[in-house]
Formats: sequence, C-alpha cells, structure tokens
Amino acid sequence: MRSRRRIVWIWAGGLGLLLGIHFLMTILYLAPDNLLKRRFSEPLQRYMDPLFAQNWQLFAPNPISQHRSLVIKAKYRDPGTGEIRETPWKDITRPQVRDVWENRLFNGDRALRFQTSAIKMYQSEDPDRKAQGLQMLRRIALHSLNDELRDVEQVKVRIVINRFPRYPEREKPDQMGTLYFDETDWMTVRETARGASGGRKP
Amino acid sequence: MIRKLYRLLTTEHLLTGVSLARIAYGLFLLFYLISHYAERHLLWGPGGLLPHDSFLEMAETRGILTLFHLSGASWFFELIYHAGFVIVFLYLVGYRTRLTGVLTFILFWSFYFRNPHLTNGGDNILRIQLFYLMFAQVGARFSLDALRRRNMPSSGEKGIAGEMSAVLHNAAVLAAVVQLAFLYFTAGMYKVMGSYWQEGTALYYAMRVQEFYWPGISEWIWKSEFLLVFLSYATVIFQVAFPFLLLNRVTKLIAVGSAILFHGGIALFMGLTGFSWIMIGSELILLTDKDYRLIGTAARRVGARAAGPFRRLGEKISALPAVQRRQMIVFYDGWCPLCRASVASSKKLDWFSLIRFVSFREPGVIQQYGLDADKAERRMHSTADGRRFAEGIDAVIQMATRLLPLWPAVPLLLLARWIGIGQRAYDFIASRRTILLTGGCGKHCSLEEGKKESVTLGE
Repeated sequence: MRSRRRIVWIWAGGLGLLLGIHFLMTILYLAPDNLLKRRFSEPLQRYMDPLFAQNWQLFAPNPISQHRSLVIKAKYRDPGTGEIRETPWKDITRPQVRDVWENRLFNGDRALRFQTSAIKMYQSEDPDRKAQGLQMLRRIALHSLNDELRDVEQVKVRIVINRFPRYPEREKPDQMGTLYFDETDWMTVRETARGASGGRKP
Repeated sequence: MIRKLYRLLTTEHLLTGVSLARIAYGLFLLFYLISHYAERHLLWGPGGLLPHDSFLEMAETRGILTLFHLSGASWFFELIYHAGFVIVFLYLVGYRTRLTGVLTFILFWSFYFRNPHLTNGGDNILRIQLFYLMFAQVGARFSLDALRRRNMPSSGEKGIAGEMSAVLHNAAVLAAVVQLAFLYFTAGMYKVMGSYWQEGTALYYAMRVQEFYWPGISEWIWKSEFLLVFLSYATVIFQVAFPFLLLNRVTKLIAVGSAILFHGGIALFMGLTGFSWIMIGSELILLTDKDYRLIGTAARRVGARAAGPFRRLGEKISALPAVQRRQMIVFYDGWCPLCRASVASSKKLDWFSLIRFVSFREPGVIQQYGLDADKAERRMHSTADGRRFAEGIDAVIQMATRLLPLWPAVPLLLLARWIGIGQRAYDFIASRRTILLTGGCGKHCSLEEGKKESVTLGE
C-alpha cells in the first residue's frame, strides 16, 4: 500500500513538474517581445512549434481597419483564332464576401481567409514569405479562372487595399476610402519562384 | 492533510465539463466536415489551393507530420475525409473515447496543418485542447462508454492504474483550463496596448471590415458612442480578468456567463460562429459537477414557473388534427432499467402527447398487437398505424421526429443509419442491457421466477 502510494505521488509530482515547465514556456512564448524571450527564442520556438503553436492576438493590438481584396486578369489563347487575348480585371473577393453576408452559417469564409493570408504573406518583408505569398496568389487566380477559361497562359493579381473612412467619417460609404494597389507581374501557369515586383502607389 | 491531498489528486474532477466539451467539439467537427464538403478539394485536396508538394515542403520546415504525409493520392484524401465522419461521430457519441479521442486529434491536426492558411483562433485552441483532452476521461458522462460501464459490475476500489489514470485526467483537465486562461489573458493584454481599444473605436473598425460586416445591422452598433466605448472596455477588462475570475466559484460563474454572452455576440454580429462555438464549448470545462447541479436546480425552478403557459400551448397544439395523426406506440422492455429510464425521459420530452409507451412484457401485449416476441425482445419496436412496425434505430428515429427537443439529433441519427453504424450501435447497446425484475411488473412476475436475478442478454 505504501509503495503504491509512493508511485502515485511520484507520478503526480512528475506530471505537475511537466505542466509547470510547459506553462512557463507557454507564458514566455505568448508574452510580448522581451529580454528573456529574445535570449531563449530558438529553444522556445523549437519546443512550442508545431504541437503547441498558438497566437491569441485576436483583433489586437488594433483590429484591421481596411478591406483587402484581390482582382485578377489573365492572358489566354482564344480557342477560335489561336490569338493571345487579355481578360478585363475581375474582382474575385467581392462574390465571396457577398456569400458571407448572405449565408451567415454555411459560407466560403475559409477560402476568403486563404486570400487574406496570401495578401499578408505577399506583403511581408521576409523574402521567403513573400515568395510563398506570390505562389498563393497565383493559385488563387488560377482556381478562380478554372471554371471559365481553358487555355490560360498567364495571370496577374492586383491587391486592392481600401482604407475605409475613419471613425469621425463613419457615415461615409466605402467608396470614399483611400485605395492602395499592389500588383504582381504576369505569372505563368506553372509554379516559379520569380515574378514578384510591384510597388505601392496611393 | 496529506491524505486529503492524495484523495483530491486521485479523484477525477470536472468530468461533466469535459464530457460536454467533447460533445461541443464533436458537433463542431461534424459541422466542419459537412459544411466544407463541396469545397473540400479546393481547401485541402492534393490539387487545391495548397498543392501536395507545397504542403510537404511547408511541413518539413516546421517538422510537422500528418496523415496526409502517407499519400498524396486523391483517393487517399477522400478516404481520410470520409473516415473523418465516422471517427468524429463516434467521438461525439462517446464510443471508446480513449481511442477515438486520439484519432480525432490526429484527424483535426492533419486538416489543420494540411492548409494552415485557412485556420482561425477557434481552430487553434481546438487543436491544442484536443491534444490535452486525449489524456482526460472525456467519455465519463453522456456517452456510450458510460452506458456500457453502468451495466458492468464495478469493483468499487480503484487500483493503482485507476489512480494513476485519475491523476493523468486531472493534469490534462488542468492543462486545458490553464490554456484557456492564457488565451484570454494574452488576447486582453495585447488589446490594452491598442489605441483603437483605448479610444473605443476598435469595434467600429473590426465590424466594418468586409468579412465581419453584417449589412444593415453593424451600423446600429457603431451609431452609439456609449455602446462602442462600453463594449471595447468591457471586452478588454473581461479578457484580462478572466484567469483571476476563475479563482472563486461566484466570479467563475460570472466569467463563464460573460464569456457565453461575449462569444454569442461575436457569432451573431461578426459571423464568427465556428470560433464562438469552440470557445463556448471550452468554457463548459470550467464548471464543476457541483456547479452543474446548482445550475440544474436553478433552471428547474425557473422552468417550473415558466412551464404553465407552455403546457397550455402544448395542449392546444396536440389537439390539432394534423398533430394527432402523428401519434404512435412504442413497445419497450419493461424489465430493463435502462429502457424504463429512457421512457421516463422521453415522456418529459413528449410535449404534444404523441407517444404511448407500452411494455411488451405486460400480459397480452404481444398478442394484441401481433408482435414477434423474439424480435421485440431484441429491438425496441414502434408503430404509427398499428400495421407496419419500425424496429431498433428506425424506431428511435420515428420517436425522435415526434419529440421536438430531439429534432437537432434527427439528421445525426439518419446519418448514422445511412452509414450503417446506427443499427449496429443500437444492437450493441440493446444486447448488453441489464434485465432486472423489480416490483413493477404486475402478475407477470410469478410466471418467470427463474429470471429474478439480474441477467444480461447476449452473454
């Protein structure tokens, strides 16, 4: 009986220690940038990611205050004449946003999240993330064209950021917001690492 | 003192809470698989938004392993997706949760990292909680496991394995609670630093962003400066205070109540339903079994007061000819305590008096209704017209369609029958039910003296 209790005590103590260490690591991982976090950043990252990877900066420190949308255009081979033609710009975010507005439970909000994620990645300072973001944008464009166009040769994506009216002008419609564009080069249908350029123009 | 601590450690805590969380998570995951069914290839498929080779590359840099590493073939993707329904359903109904808990975690983990660009905070906390709860006894209540255990003889005293398992359960539950507290505290702390939250405009900006906007409704919230500032400050204070509110029973109930209102509001006004559902599900872990009893008593008291008008409405509805045509008879086993308990709870849910419950053990019943005695003993029977009989899961479904509070479960039951596990699960439980002759069987008992002790069918 005594040895049995001892085993259970050791087991409980061990688990307690494990939880203690685990949550100390979690606190440090979740904390804002600080001296300790900088010092242990590498082992901390190795321990927490991917099993305990987490981010709770939900609408914080400040919520996003702009609409992020994608418009695309494509070069395709006309099936009749064999000529290369260019489509007009096509807004691929608006229909999905409308779907979210109309169907508040069953909607395509996950696909929409992929778009905003791609925009964030593409606008990152980190060249690797930017390259990944570019590939994501290319795939979004191709998947949105798949149904309508067969012989797509190249696609181009334009990110449209609408900084909608600030609080004091909240009565104004979205069209009165400030627009920012960021455009990719023409991208071939196959996967490539190049093709990124584009600058910000107000 | 030490003995007390020992008992505290080796007694499982929050069993009701984790079982309810299991149900909430299971329902979410079922919804997740169903609602994305049409776009599953686009979101997670080998040729979708994140092709299989790009996924492998991403996974390698982070050291992630998932089920989708086994194969990039589309038949394999389909297999995982459809097997997902079965796994999640079994987890939801609490069948072998030790095993299905692990499988559910692996499944969700795989989908989460198959395309991490689709995920939100709700998915993130669910992924972590499913990991912790693998080590907890989430099938302790409201589950097939619990039903099975009720019919098994219990030895009373816990062995060393039982005690160690209880300690593990408590550690897992503690981890889930601490994780939730960290979530709120972090979310609140970062908001304190935000200028929009300070000046009270945060909700205006958050609710105007197109994906969180509700045309015609959101404007009403940001019309009132008082409401905006109040909601901003209330959000920040609630989130930062959350871990500390858990330290006392009364403040804990306030915290959980506020959280449910808070997430309900987010779901309604910002359309973040999945996230809110998972958060509310996680809150359920925080209440102890005693809290649930207190809430139950209070709810019954309020319910009894409010029942009068509802009963009159129910009577009016049940007098309608269209409703009366839906009346039916259920033939149950009056010798089985589980069956009698189910009948008692069904009667409470039968608001329109549509179901007459008849024990086929009563003399003359078998002959009067032309039942097959063997079949009636194997499966519950029901009939709406006295000629055609439904049995087993079909009888359950026929009952559920007449019990308004059970309507949400009807699609699940139909799905279970359609997959083929419905009837099997029914038979599994029915064949293991205890049959016990107690005082309630009238003259009939004397004929069956030999069966007086407890017997279990099928063994």
